[in-house]
Amino acid sequence: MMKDQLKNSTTYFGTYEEREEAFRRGVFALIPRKYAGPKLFWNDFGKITLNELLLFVKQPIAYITSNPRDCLAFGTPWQVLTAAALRSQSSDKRISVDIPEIAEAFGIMENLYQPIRTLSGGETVKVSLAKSFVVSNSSNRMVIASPFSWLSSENFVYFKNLFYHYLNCGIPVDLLALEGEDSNETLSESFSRVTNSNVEFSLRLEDLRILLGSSLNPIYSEQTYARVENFQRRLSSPCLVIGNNGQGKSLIAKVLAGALSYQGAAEIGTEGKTGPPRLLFQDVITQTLLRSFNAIARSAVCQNMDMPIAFYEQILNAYRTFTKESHSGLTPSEPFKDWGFRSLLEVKAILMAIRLCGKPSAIIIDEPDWGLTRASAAAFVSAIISVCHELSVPVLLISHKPWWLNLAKSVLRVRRTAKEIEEKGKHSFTINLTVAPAETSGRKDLTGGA
Amino acid sequence: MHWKLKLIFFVILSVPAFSGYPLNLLDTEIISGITRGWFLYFILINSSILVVNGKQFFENTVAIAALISLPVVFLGAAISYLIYWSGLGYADGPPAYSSHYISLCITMLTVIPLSLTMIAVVPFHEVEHNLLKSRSGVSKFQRFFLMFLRVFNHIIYSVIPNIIETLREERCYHQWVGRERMLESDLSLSAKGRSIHPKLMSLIREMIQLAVEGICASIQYIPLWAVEISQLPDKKKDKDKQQR
Repeated sequence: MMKDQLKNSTTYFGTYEEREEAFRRGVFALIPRKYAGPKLFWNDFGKITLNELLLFVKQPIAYITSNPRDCLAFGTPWQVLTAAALRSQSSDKRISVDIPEIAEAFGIMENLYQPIRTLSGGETVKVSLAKSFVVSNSSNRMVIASPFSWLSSENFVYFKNLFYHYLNCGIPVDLLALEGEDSNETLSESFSRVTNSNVEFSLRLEDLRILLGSSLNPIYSEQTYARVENFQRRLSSPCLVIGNNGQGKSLIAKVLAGALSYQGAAEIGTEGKTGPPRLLFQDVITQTLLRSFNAIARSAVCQNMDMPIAFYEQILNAYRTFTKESHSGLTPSEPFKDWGFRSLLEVKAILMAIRLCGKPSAIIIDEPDWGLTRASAAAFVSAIISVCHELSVPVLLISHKPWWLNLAKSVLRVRRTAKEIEEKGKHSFTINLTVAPAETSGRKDLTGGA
Repeated sequence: MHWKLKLIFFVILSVPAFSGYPLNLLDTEIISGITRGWFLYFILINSSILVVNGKQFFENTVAIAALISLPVVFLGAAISYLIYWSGLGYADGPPAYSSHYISLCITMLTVIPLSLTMIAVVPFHEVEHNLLKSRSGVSKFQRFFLMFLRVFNHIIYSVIPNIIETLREERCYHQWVGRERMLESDLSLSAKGRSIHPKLMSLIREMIQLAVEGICASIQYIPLWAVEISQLPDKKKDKDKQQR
C-alpha cells in the first residue's frame, strides 16, 4: 500500500539535470542553477522576478532541497521549527505547535539547540522532515528532491510519517527522484567481476580528534568534537564504508583525504603509491568551485592535458562495458580539449580522471550514486574500480546504500557509538569503525538494523 | 569569558584605531613608516586576540589579515613604482612612498584581526533565537536582520568551509607534487625565478574563480530564504498600526 502510494507520488528522471529542473519549476524557479557554470547561474538569477516571489508566497509549498541543509533558513533546529510554526500561525488555519513534541517525533530532541552547521547529514535530514511537518498547515503542496538518495533505512520511518501526514491532510506530494534511486537491492552478481584483481591497502587511525563546525567555533562556548577510536587493519579493495545517516562516514573520508583538519593520525598506505588519497566529494558540483575543468586539470598536471584526457578515455571505455549490465542509457561524451559542463556524470568522470594523474594511494568516493540513476551509478562505480585496480590503486566507497555490497571485498561499518556532555555547553561523540565480513553480512545488519 | 564582555573589551581596544589617541602621542618612528604607538598597538591587539580567543582563532585571523593586507600593500607599492618609473610622479623614487606602505601594512595587520574578532565574538545564532522567541511576530527591521544573519551564517559556516575543504583536498596533492619535483628537479635558480610569473598569474586566476564561486554559493538560496522570512507574521504593533 505504502509502496504504491509512494510510486504514485514519485516522478522518475533519467538525469540529475532533468530532476533539478523539475524541482526548480516546483519552487517557482527561485533557485538559480549553479551546476552548469557561472553564466547560467547569473542568467537564472537575473530572471527571478517579484512575480515569482509573490507566486511562492501566495501558493506556499513545503519543500526539501536535494541537499536538505540548504532548505533550513535558520541557525538551529529550534529556530527552524519556531520559524515554521510562526509561518503556520500566520496562515488562516491557526494551530498550536508543540516544538519539543515534534522534535521528539522526528528524533532531534537532543539536537534541538545545536547549531545546524554542526549537525551531521542524518540529523539535518530529520530537521528538514520535521520542518516540512510543521509547515503542512500553511502549505498546499510538498516537493522533495531525491528523498531516497539521502535517506538511510533508519530515517525512512520519519519520512514515511511525514508522507502519510500530508496524504491524510489531502495535500499533494511531489517526489522527484532519479531512476532506480528508491531501490534497496544490491547490484547483481555480474558486477562483482570487476573486483577479481587483488589490491590491498592499510588503514590506520590513531588518536584521531576532529573539531566540527567551523574554525570560528573555539570562541563560542559550544565546541563539538568527534573522536575516532583507534583502528589499524589491512583491507582489500574495493572497501565499502557503510553506515546510516549521521554516523560520520563523510567525516572519515574527508579526514583521510586531508580535506578537514584533525589531531592524530589518519593514513592510507598502498604499496608503490606515494601520492595522497584523493576524494570525490558527495556534492561534486561544490567540489568544482565553478572552475572550468581545464583550470582544475591544468593546475593539477601543469599544462600537460594528455594525462587526464587519457584517464578520462580509460574511464569512458570501462563505463561503456558496464552499461550493458546496468542498462544505463547515459554515456559521457568523448573528451574535448575545452571541457565544459555537460552532465553531472561527466563532472564525476573528469574529476576522477584528474585525480588519477597523481599516483594516489587511494581513491575515495563519497556517496558515489549522488546525482546519478542507479544504472549510471553502477556502471560508473564499476568503471572507476576497474580503472583504479589496473593501476593498483585501492578504492573506498562511502555509502549508506546496500547497493555496493556485491562489489565490496571488504566492508567497514561506521557507527557513532556515544554522545556525552563533557562540561556545560560542550559535547562530543565517538566514531567506531568495525570490519564486517563482506560476503556473509546481511544488508540489514550492515546498515544499522533497520 | 562571556561574549558581551569580550565585545566590550574589544570595542574599548578599538578606540585608539578610530580616534588616533594615544597613538598620535607616540609618533617616534622605530623604522620608517612604523611609529612606536602603532607598533605597541599592533602587539596589544594581536596578543589580546591570542589570550582571549585562543591560539586556533588567532592563527586564523592572522592568516586572513595577511591574505588581505599583503596583496594590497605589495600591489599598491608596485603601482607607485610604476608611476615613478613612467615619470608621472614620485620624483624622489621609492623613499617617497615606501614608508606609507609599511605604515599601511602594520595598520591593516592590526585593524583587520580586530574587526574580524569583533564580528566573530557576537554569537549571532543567540540573537536569532531571541528574535524568534517572542512568538509575537517580527518587525520589518527584524526581518532584514534575520535575512542578514542567514546569509552571514551561510557564508561563514557553509560557503567558506566548503571552499576550504576543496582547497585542502587539492593542497595535499599539490604539496606532494612539490616534494616530488624538489627531489627530481635540477632547475637552476634563474629558471626557478622565471617560473614565478605563471605561478602568480595562476594564483590571480584562482582567486578570481574562488570569488565567483563564493558569491554564487552565497546568494543561491537568497530568494528562497527571503520568501520564508517574508512569510513570518508581522509584529502585533505593526499589524495594529496597519489596521488603524
